Amino acid sequence: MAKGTTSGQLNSSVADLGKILVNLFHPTFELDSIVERVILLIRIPRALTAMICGAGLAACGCALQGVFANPLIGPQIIGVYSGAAFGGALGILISENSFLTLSFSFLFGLVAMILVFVVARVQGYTSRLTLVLAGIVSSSFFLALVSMVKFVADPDDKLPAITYWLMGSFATASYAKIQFVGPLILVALLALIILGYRIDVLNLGDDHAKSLGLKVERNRWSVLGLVTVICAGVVSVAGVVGWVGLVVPHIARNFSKSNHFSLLIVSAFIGAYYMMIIDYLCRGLSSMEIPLGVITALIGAPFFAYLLRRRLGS
Amino acid sequence: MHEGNLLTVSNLTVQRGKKRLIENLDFELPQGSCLGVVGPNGVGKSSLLRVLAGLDDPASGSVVVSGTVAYLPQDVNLKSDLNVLEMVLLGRARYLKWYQQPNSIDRTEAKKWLEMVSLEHLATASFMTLSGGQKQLVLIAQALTSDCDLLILDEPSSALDLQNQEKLFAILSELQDVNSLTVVFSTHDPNQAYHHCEQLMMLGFGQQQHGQCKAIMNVSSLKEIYKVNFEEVEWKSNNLKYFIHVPTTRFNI
Repeated sequence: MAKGTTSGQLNSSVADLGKILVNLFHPTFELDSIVERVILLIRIPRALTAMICGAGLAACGCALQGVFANPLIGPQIIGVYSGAAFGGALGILISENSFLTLSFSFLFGLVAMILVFVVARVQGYTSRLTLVLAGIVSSSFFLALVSMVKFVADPDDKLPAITYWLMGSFATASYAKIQFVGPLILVALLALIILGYRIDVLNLGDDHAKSLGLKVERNRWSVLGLVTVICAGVVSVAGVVGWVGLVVPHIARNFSKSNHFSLLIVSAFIGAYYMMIIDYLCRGLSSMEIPLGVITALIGAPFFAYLLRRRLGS
Repeated sequence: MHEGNLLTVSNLTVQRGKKRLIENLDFELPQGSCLGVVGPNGVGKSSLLRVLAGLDDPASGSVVVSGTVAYLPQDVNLKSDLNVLEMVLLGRARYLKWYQQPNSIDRTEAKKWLEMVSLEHLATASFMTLSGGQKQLVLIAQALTSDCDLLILDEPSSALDLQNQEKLFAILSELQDVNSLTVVFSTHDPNQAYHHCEQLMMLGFGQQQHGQCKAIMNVSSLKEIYKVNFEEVEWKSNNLKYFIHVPTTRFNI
């Protein structure tokens, strides 16, 4: 984290970070005010946002892979990403206010999940298959709306902003945004970890879980609700960040016990660290900041292919 | 030790899709007893067991269980990364609130049942590395950890070798005697039902017969539902009756 907050276009040392943190509580050291302001007002909130989002997305992926008993599932599958993406794009189109973008993104993430709920639930029951299909329906619907927003957006002004936002970035991270989304993501993450035991039971399949006395529908929708809150929160502050939720749980499996309580905790920690590194690469690989979604896919896709082959080999 | 009826089935109709499989079924099963369900493929054995377990709704009629039910599906080839003890611990799901994790009492309970099926030495082994028979026993331990009163098993012996079949039925008999566990299972082996069950449900296409096992199972009733030849043999050393399937086709070997 220290490396992440001190490296970038404006380089400083880890010692500077230490001094800045000491100064927060007791002004002791003389520091370059630009360095101090960059680290305190840009880098630290950015690193915190990356960590919160990384932890949240990794835990979401882990929980969904458990609930669906499918290691190839990531948070995109349930359609929340596309809903939140549409909300964000719409927010940028109609206003300059970044908080409106954030609120719209979060709101439409929830709307997408409600759409999945309405489509997938038939006679009080939802099967895993219909859930995935409803996720695809919801995703396609909102992606079409995103295209529509892009189509009507001003190509000189709004369209580049929307396109860049959709590719994901922590560049606009701030304490105010963390205050808005951070607690929501962290509370949902904690609740998800607590539900780890129930995710283990759901992993056995609907009939088996039901025969062990678990209320399958209630528990599954609870997990999906928490995943929705986290995903919508992440997309609203960072745009669309793919692959993290799919890849990190697979890495975590090498360091954790196999029950989901442990796996979710380890995934969250690795996800936080992973996202910090990704953000560091986004800022540091070239003089221009590379969009987050590009780096997560460039690293995530080959890494996932490697994991897949290793799993098949064993 | 029979202490009243644990399972009461009244006027039950079971269907798969739109096809009616079982109609107007009535029976009662006392606590601590065992019901065997026999019949050819596709006759509705699994559908009946799923309805009894509360996994599917009946087309009409009612199933009343005065206690908790655990159900073991036919295919136990489920994929899970959990170890054996963690797997058995999932049986406590019924008793844990949403925010609770299994505690030491739950672990003690799980270990107790794991010992009962003689698999305590595999507690830390991965569930996926077990043989089919061991998996079956682990899932039985899981069902028992849920403190069930009625255990429903769909063809429990289909994946087991003869030694494991013997072990499974010895464990079930002990649980019936010691813990008053009520058991319902389906099987393709009439002898298994004959020797382990008090009650028997014989299902054929368009016919169903329920009663005391020793009273209703005989060569002609078996012929009736399976449409193949059976013969009856009395084994002198233990005075038990066995039914042997005698194929009509002769194989020249």
